Amino acid sequence: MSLFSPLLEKLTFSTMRSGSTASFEVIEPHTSQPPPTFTAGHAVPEIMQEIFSYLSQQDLIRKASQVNRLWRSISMFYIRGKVSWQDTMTTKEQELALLGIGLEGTKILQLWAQDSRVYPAYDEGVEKLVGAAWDALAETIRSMTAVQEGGARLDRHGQGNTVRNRPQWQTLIFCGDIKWLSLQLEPWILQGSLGSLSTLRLLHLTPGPIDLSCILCELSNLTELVIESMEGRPFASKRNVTITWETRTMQEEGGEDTQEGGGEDGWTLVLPKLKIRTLSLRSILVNQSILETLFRSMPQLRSLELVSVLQPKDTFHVEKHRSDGRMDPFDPHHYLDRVRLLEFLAEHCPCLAHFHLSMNTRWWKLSQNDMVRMASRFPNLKSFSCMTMDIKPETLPLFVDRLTTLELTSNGHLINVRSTLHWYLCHAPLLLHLKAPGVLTFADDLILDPTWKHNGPPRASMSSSRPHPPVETLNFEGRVWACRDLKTINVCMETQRLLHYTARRRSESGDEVGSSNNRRLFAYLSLVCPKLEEITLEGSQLEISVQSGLVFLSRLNRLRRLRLFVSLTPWLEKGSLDWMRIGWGMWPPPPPWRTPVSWTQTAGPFQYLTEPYSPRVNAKRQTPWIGLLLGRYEERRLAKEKITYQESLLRGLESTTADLRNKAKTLALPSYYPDRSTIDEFMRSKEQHDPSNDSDPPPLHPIELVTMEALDHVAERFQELTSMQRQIVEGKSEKRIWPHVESFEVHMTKKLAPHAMRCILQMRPDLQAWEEAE
Amino acid sequence: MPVTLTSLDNQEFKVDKEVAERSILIKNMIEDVGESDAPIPLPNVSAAVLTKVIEYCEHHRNDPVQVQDETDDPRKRSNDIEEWDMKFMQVDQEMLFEIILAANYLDIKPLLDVGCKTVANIIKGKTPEEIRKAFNIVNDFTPEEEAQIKKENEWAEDR
Repeated sequence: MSLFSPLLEKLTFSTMRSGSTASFEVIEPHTSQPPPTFTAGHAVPEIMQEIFSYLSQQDLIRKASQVNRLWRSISMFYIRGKVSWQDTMTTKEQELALLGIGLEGTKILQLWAQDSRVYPAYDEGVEKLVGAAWDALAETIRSMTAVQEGGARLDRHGQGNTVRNRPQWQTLIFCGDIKWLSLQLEPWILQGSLGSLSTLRLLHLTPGPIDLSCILCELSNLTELVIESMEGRPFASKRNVTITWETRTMQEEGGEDTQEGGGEDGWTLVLPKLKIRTLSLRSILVNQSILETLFRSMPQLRSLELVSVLQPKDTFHVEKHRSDGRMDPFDPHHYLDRVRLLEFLAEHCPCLAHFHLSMNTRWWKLSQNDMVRMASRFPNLKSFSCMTMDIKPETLPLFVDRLTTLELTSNGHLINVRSTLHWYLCHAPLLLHLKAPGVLTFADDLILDPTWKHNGPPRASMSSSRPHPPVETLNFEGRVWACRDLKTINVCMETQRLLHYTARRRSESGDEVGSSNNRRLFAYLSLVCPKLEEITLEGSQLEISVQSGLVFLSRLNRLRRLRLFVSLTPWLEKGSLDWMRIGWGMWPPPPPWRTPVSWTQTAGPFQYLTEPYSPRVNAKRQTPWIGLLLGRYEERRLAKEKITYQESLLRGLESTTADLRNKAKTLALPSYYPDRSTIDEFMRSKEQHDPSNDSDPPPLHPIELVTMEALDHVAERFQELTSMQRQIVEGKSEKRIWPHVESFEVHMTKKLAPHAMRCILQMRPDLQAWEEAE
Repeated sequence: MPVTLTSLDNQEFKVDKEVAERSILIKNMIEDVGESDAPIPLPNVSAAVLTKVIEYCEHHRNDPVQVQDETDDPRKRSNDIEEWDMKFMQVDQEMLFEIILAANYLDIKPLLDVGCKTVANIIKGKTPEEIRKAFNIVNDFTPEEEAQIKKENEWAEDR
């Protein structure tokens, strides 16, 4: 267990593990009440730390830190006091923010230095001159650090009358104008005011030089460094963020002891070993020899991202390699020497676990030899990240038996990695996280057509004369994702079958075809990857209606976050999401004004009622007289029949199940399905399986993998949920749907779909709390 | 091969070696001492608590060793307690803390985690005053300090 000795310097204790009973000294209370018994109030502080590490920021601030001094002292360690300073905010407001949290409590300082040429300050109270605004910030911090004995502030140990005069910032995020970085931050760094920093992120920087020697030599506790230019592509502009090393000039001129010589351009600097574990350089210019100097001094480096990193124009490499014909004729800069870079990294950073290298240009694609080198020279690489344009069919097979994380970045071009990616997923059992936002994958690959012999998508021949294949032929070896422990998935899932179906089966509506593709996707994820915790899906046909089979995801007991990006307004019908609240019946009914419109619109004499609502609300939302009439009718009916909340939910699920079964009978089965009797037999055998055993993932069965888009399966799942709800009503079970879920978001393009979100939050008000915390 | 554990109150418990070795402390002791029939004294754990601890270890005897993936989400969560563990932790407060202390002493990380998560969940649903009441804690802040904390929290929240 981690110990935080600085925090506990005033508490002496010995744990039971060391052989004696727990004994420790605590601060005497001011009150004369008797000492408490052995409880959390006096638990061993290191255990208290462990407990507090599970509390959210809100809980730490609003609850734990206000209990007593000991609790405050421990919670202060975890509270991430964050001050955001912008030179376009009023000076007074920013001073108050800093003084409010205090230097001691501020762990994260975010400084946004606007480019005054772009964002002139017009608002009242905002300092017109950027320089003066920065001076005001510096003055505030100086005055705070000057406070000495006699202040009434509490220090991190909950003790009064002692004030630390050094900032304890752990994270500093600087965004914007690079000029203020050198003018304001560098003096602070040189004064030693930022010695506690462990994370430094310099983001969205305007063009200009940045002296890394100042940062790395002075900030000895730094573990994460991110430098990012505001320019997306450095070669698109002659001006850019350029990493410099000011001491280099001195060494070249004076021949200091630290200079070793031997670098290709005549110098090599030896730095002390740095603690940096994460380094990310995005769209910047840096000399390769400086990079190598950095890598040499970072033996603990775990995560490295080099995105669009070029050498500055003034290096002699330009002339040298221009003669080699290896230069991009349209680019005045030169690319890094990849072979040398990879070999150097492999030698000096053997712990590298995450690596991204890309240039985002067709002139500097990674070659297969580069990939082979990465696979062979970095034995600890567990997380690989690259652009889709760098992926070749033989690339991913190099990493089959080792990666836990695969990140693919699309640069907007439609580069087809479909077959490569699907093959990888079918052969990578260790994969835990797949993050490929915007990368096209196809739902067509998820169905198993037993007669499928070609490499393309399954051909759904609709010839009625074609016999159903026997179940013995349903072999899915190597064609189903092997990553059964997958925790995270973020992909864009489309289908080619919509066109195919509509061309061949004009009798079937396009809606049904779209829904069947959704069902296939959701069913596949829930069957093949039952341990999913975070799902982000994008697709032009994604739906959250009953028929779309979103209910399949209710099988995912570990789900924490679900995000769906749809192109059109999500279509919600009555009862679409009722299953989400199974087991969560303790929520009080929402006030009438929060009742979703779709509920009141469809509630009628023959519909069940999911929520109480007032005739007044109905009158507002529908034709007043009809709304009033229906509302009164339902109110009387419920009062007469004494229908409880659980009973109405049960009736809803039963009604949905019956509707789905009826509709399923009208749909013809695709020819590649096993025959109906085989499917029915499978359904019967499935009933014998105990779905309440959460620890075992559902077994993969070929028949379900072939027929998973069938509407029958959705009806089946609703039936299971009905049984589950009935058990809860009868007090035989306390199971809950999605016990760990924190958020469920539906987005239309970039925005939240408000109507869908209203419905979701009504089903699960606990998700709202997360939204606030975010 | 069974291992004998002796509790604080001199009660002896015979458990499978596999179960006992869920405790890193006991595992190390067995490795240090070698094969022996001598009982292992656990002078800091009472019989009642040891019974609970053994029950937990029995249930989780086949669990794989948890290895933290560096690429995993580093945030700690308290809402992912398994159903069985949740029921196991439904004990009175004194026993709960005794189990946590025993897990700490015996070095049983999964049990310690579950215990800490359970206490964190208790804290989450309460106001500071309710927490004091629940855990029998004395408020030792002066009125001035309380006022200052309130002021500081105004800035700390939602920022």
